[in-house]
Amino acid sequence: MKYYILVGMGALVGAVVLFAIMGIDEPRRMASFDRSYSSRRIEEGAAIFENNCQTCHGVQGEGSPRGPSMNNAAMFNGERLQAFGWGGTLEDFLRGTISAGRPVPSEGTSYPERMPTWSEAYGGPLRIDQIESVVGFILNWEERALAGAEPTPVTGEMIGTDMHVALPPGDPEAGQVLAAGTLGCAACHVLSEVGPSWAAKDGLPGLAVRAEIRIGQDDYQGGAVTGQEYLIESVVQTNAYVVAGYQDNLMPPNFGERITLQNMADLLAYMLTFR
Amino acid sequence: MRLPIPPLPSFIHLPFLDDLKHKGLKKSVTDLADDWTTRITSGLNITDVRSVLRGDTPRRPNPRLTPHAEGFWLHMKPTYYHNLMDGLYPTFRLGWLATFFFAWEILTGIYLMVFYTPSPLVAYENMLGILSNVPFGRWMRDTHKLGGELMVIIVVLHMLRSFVTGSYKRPRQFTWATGGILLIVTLFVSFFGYLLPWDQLSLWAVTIGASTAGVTPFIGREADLLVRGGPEIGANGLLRAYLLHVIALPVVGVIALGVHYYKVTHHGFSLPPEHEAVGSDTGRKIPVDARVYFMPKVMTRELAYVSVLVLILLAASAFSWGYHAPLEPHADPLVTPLHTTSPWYFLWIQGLMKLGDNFVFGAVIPFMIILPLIVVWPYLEVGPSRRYGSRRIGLSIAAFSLIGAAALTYMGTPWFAVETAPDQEAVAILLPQTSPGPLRQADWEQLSYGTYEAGQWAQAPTPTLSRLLKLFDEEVEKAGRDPRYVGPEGLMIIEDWQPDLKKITLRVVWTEGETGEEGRFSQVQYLHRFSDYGQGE
Repeated sequence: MKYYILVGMGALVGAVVLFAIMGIDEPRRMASFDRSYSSRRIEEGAAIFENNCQTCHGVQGEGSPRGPSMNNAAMFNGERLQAFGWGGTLEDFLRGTISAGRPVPSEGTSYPERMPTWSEAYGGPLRIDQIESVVGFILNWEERALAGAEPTPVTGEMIGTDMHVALPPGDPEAGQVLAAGTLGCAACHVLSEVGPSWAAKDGLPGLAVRAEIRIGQDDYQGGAVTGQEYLIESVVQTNAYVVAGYQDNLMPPNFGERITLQNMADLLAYMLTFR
Repeated sequence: MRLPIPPLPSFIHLPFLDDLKHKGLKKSVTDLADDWTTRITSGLNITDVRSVLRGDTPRRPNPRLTPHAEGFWLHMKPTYYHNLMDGLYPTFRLGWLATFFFAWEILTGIYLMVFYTPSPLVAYENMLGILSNVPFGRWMRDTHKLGGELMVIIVVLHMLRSFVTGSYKRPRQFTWATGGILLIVTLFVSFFGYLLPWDQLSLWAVTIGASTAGVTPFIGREADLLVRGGPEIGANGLLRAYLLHVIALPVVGVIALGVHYYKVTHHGFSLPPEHEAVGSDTGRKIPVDARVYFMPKVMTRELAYVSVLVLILLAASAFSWGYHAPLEPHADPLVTPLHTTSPWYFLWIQGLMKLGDNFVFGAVIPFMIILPLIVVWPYLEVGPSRRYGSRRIGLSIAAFSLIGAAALTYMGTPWFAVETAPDQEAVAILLPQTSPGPLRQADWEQLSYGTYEAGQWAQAPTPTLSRLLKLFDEEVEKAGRDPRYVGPEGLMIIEDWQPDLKKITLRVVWTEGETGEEGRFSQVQYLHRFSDYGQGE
């Protein structure tokens, strides 16, 4: 009987000690489950993306003529959200867009179909946890998407702040790529409400025509004498003249250090297409 | 020593203060402790408790009998046992263990209930919450599941033991019958608990089990609707399963257990058959010299068993290497996993159903013949002798039933009489749909990018890949023995998909035996560096 009491008490003490050890380890265990499970969400999201999203958004989220790219720097560095005027987090934006779809297209896009609703709550096929999985999968692109956006090593002479410099012949299509991509102009301009639109809008003519008008205005303080010079000046000397209604320094002041002569020529050629 | 006690207002009367006055501090306190110990133990004072623990002979009259007469808990326990019954044989303490597990399940179950809502919208999220955000959550879930499965095993063993020793015979027929009800309750509590995590495993195990309800004669459709709460298991079905699991069946269980326990004590334990004359029952008339008192010997043993069991159960799921309740992906009524089965203790019914008509083999035989037969067995087999030699037929039936149950259980598994496509089987060997399997559990780093042929496993760049491809190749070769599959080949393609994410495609290609066309089957699994399927989490 002594033996039973001893074993019983020993086991009880052992159980208490074990329970305490477990308790000490619980925070680590719970954190490790969290990580493990969010990783599994990414796996599940990848499978759902493959089955439902890639026809429009591309196998690797690179986009297609049917739907915009997910896997790009603008998505993760805030440009895309800024272009929509979205104040929340990217995660919330993705969750909302995937769940409820996009009944109205973004301005400036011409995709043949609207983003459908995907959440069961909006009549779509996916459960809430599946939506979360897709969000997790898309967010997992961040690292590479941002890495891919690092400016490709720029070769050639930088334009600096000289608006009178002689430019090589420009290619408007290359300019469009720059505006939408590396330079990020499209986030605020082109069609957006954030900065002055490049396209003709609200009764105002396109950028090329507007430039001609601006230099003749009474309040114009810059040094440009032609429309083209005005456009170059706006890019490289951003505070030389700020259009009424916008604050100083909204436009990043360092484009002169980032844009080569060739790039400026391409961009200018693109800008001049807006009449 | 007399203490100076200030006078109190006359309407306050504290007996302890009077004691202090008359007996002094030390004596008052020990008397108080003694009094409370006597109340808590329903009759033993401190000296008595100490003498129980020391194994001393009790004083006269024996105070150790009082708790059995006056206390609630011990009135259900016999005051003394026959000395043939106090060891491990012949009861193996299985009834005590079953009771322990019943209590264990209730305690851990209540903890889990706190963090669980029976709705398909959140049930699975609750599981994740229990695992990621509830201290001891994983362990509670694991031990609840493990305890439930062990309880099924122990209840069945308890029944077998009672059958073999003939303990169900007169006058204990009713005790056996309540035990039969407890067996059914145990099986069904466990079964309905299966559904609650709302993962693929639970949904499909229960769907398969519930499909037997639909073949009930005349009211099949109604029975089916009643159990599932709709044409398929959804919010209503989950709520019903939950209520059956946490309220209805446990209440039946508590009542049946009370009756069962009372009857056991009332009739006394039946002695090993060879120690009694045929037809006599001396369970209640234990000679004075054969008595072993519950206190202290049996009590210390039972408590020691329980303590050791608690330690074992605690250790079994405490660390990553222990037992962990599975959690498959979220339930999806549209996707039936390959190799899905009912819970293991109902596999025998699934096996029966493969023998023929669902109505006869799925409803009549198990639920209208076998289980009721178990309950009423003692009223049918009325031979008076409990001796093994006199019960050759009964014991043979039991032995054959056991063998039959084992065979039917095997037949219930997907490896018996289930037509599956060998190409899917080949992929499922690496990517099973009801468990993580070797590919998901493989070392992520070792899955190097590239396209690999299963047949070329020896040339694989890493040992893990080589092992996986070899497994794959063996299954693909099996497919090749099927005349419909000419020259099957297995391919594994591993691509870099995202940061820390690999896309793994398993593909089987073959030429159709009849048409000569090319056939192919692929399955994709994305694997993240940190998804960690190894811990059963």
